[in-house]
Amino acid sequence: MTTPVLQVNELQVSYHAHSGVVPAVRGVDLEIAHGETLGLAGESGCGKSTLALALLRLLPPTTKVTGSILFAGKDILTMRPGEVRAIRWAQASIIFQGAQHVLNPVRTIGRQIDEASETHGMNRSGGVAELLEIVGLGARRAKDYPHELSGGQKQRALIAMALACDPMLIIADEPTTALDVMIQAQILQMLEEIKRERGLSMLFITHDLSVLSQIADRVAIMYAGRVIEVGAGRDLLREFKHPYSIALAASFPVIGDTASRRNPRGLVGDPPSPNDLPSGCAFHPRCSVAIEKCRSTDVVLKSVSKSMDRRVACLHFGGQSD
Amino acid sequence: MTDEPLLVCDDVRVVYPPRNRGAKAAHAVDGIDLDVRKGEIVALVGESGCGKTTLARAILGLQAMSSGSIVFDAKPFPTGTADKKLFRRQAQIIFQDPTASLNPRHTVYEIVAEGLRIHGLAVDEHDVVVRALERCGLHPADQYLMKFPHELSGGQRQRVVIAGAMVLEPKLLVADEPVSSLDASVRGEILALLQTLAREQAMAVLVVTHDLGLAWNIADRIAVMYLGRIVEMGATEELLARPKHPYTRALLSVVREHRGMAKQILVGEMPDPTAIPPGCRFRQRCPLVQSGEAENLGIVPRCTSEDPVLLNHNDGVLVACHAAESSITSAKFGG
Repeated sequence: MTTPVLQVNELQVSYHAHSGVVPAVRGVDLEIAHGETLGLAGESGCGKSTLALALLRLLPPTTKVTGSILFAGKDILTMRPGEVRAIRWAQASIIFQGAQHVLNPVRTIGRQIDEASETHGMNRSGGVAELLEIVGLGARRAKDYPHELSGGQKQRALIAMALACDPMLIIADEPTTALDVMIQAQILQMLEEIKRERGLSMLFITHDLSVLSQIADRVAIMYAGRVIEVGAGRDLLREFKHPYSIALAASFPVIGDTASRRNPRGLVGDPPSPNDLPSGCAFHPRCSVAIEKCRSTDVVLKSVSKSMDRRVACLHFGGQSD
Repeated sequence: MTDEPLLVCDDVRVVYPPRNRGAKAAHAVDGIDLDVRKGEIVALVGESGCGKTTLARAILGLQAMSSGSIVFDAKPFPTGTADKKLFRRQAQIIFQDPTASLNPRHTVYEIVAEGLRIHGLAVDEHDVVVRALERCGLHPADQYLMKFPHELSGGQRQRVVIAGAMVLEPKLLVADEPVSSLDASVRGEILALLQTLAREQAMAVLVVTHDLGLAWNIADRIAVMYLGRIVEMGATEELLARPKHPYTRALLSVVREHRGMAKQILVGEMPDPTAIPPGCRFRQRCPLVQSGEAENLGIVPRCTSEDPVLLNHNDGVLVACHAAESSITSAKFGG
């Protein structure tokens, strides 16, 4: 088997706050193969964005990060700063959410794309004009300032920037969240094409499960700093096994399904604060099938079926730690 | 729900004057007829820039209309100071981001009581505030009264915002993207609350949203807006099961909550309201025009020159499209 593009082992991230140490990511294992898209879904505060930033060591220096992040076999966490800089953008780039806050308002789009490749010392992608064509903006947009672009166009410019150094991996953190549905569909379609043509790997982070059916080969669901269910995209999205995934999926309406007509469903209670995590399984206070043992037993991901590469962290699926 | 309309908009237009010489006026709302009945939830659906928020603001008197008329509770739109104050009690609005709507230095109690004080209503303020909070799912209310917004979760904040509106017993609630900043697990609970309040208080609710899934969840009727105009309007089940306007069809096909519909991704973005195309305003992006279907129907000249009006179909759905119109005609004449 070839080395995966990205392999994350036992990743733990904790912030130091006034109230003490706040664990945001609590032991995550992930793997992304060449040309594969891993969808990472979860609600706000589950640690998914912290995880994305940790991957390229973009968190504040006071943050404690342990475990290993192997990028093409080399551990990012033990690299010297210069080596990490060489990997950022050139091998792995990030598309952040909220394009309007990421772009510099007083520089042209073309200048900002150039800057990305200059800073990281290479430009293998044939210049700004070609990049802008790839993302469907057109070369003449290089002279425009961010305020002259719509939200969708700004997001396209950010994607062009992420492609500037021809990376192997793109980390996309909620790239379509602030956009209208039609523009979202356009951007997703474009990302898929670019990914296919260039053989890119992608980590696609979102709070919206429904986006993943379109783009992800594999899907991981996060809750309270842990991955609680992971598996092949199609299979997982067709039938969730973890009670949290099931409840989360049920809160997305299905148009035409009479069960959700005049019957919006949510999940009772709020996600736990990382300061104050429940004992045992972090989901047990909101879980409809929790049993006494869930209060006291910490759960880990366990395979539920060999053929489908599905793993679930739930006592009901044998997820007890040994 | 009763048949009695609470709100009737007749040919409402909002035109923003040109920003500088040589620029053109922006027709943000370009002739809207819309009514909302007591106890009814109407979803006004469209993409950003379609004019849905401008229309909502005009309905609330926060934006002057350029022309047209609005009737509220069988009375013409208020102009006098006293009438306006009464109207502002009876028509409430809630916004997308509850954090931005709440004063961070006020307690939940002060936030909910503020409206009562402004309108000089409360005989027993404490009681009314507690009841409003509990009706909005924050019980026991005592636990929340002295809290500040930052001590609450996003969902609880939106409940406080809704309680602040409900305390005035409004007849109309305009909800501008009420759940789009909330997590999925919380979203359903807030929508369920809006639905219950509309039923129990016989309150009319106009939900402004881009989310067709939300409309399926709670709306009795849907109005789809494109570039300042309603292009399709009707009962939720009928409109979403058999969308007739090509824009509605495309929107529905890309909403991933909808299964079993081939994706129809429109090219480009909605034109600027300063440059509304003549003829049908959707024709430049219309899949029927692009696929040649409009050509086959022989309606292209009409699409180019004639602005389609909303026409009633047999099932009560109103559609502004020459193609939909020609299908009624052909059905009628057995063609």
